[in-house]
Amino acid sequence: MLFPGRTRSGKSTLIRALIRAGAVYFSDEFARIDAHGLVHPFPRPLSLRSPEGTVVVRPEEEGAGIASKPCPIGAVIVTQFRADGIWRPSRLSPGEAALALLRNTVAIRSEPAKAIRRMSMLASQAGAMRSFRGDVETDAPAVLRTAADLVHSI
Amino acid sequence: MNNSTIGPIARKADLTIEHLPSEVVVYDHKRHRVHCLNQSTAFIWGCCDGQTTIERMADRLPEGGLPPDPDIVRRGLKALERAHLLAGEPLQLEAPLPSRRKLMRKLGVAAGSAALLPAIVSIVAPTPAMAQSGDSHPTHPPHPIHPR
Repeated sequence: MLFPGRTRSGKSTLIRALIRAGAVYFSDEFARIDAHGLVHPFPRPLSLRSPEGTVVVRPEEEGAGIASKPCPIGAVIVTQFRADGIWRPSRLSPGEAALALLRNTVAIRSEPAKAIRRMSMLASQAGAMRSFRGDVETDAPAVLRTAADLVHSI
Repeated sequence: MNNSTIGPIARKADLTIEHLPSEVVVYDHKRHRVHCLNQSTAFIWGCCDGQTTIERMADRLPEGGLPPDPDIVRRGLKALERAHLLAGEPLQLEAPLPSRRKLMRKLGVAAGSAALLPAIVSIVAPTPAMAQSGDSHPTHPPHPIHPR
């Protein structure tokens, strides 16, 4: 699962909930993607914001399994927390998924041809969904189910 | 269009073009924008060789599952022009463009098939800082921008 999205959209909070639910951890904040569209482990600690400030959480402390080798991406999930958000995913076309990835690609201006090729390939291989989400405890299981359905559909 | 051309010409300079199964993703190196052309827009863009008229493009639309209506081509061309994906002189469209809703009604296109009508989704390519912080991003995932 890959979650392209801006800072403060609730990605890290969602990822902590997902690894608590059994997902294997690859990375927070950055995804390293190679020329074959494989994502590589880059297991930085999770940075979670709270009213008291930023809390750094080691994924191992959450019981996460840490990925040790590259893996293909099965699902691209474009999501953002909203207090009144409800998880109602709608399918993205490969082109829309590529754009969602490219708007968060660090190297897009320095290496546009490579970035476009990689993200387009990745978006063509994976399934992609978009939805707002609400409370993470409620919606994390639904996100996992959506990702599993996407993987099975491709 | 100049004297030797009878139809619009696709811009190819300073672009990186990636073909997906039914869409095209384009990076504009001059403007640092990324465009996603949906199937019908990609089809129309592919017809822009300077030798194909709007009417002839319309005749070919059924190959992409659309009715052969020149208004569809005109909307696609207008979207391409707004995205700076046409070369040459500005488009001279003889008739005013019908709204998307009017066109859907005219063609009898069901809401579920509206995605077949020409559309281009565009984003500004983020700088490295923007891509990391997301400060330039809208608060909602991208939606198609349709020509007015």
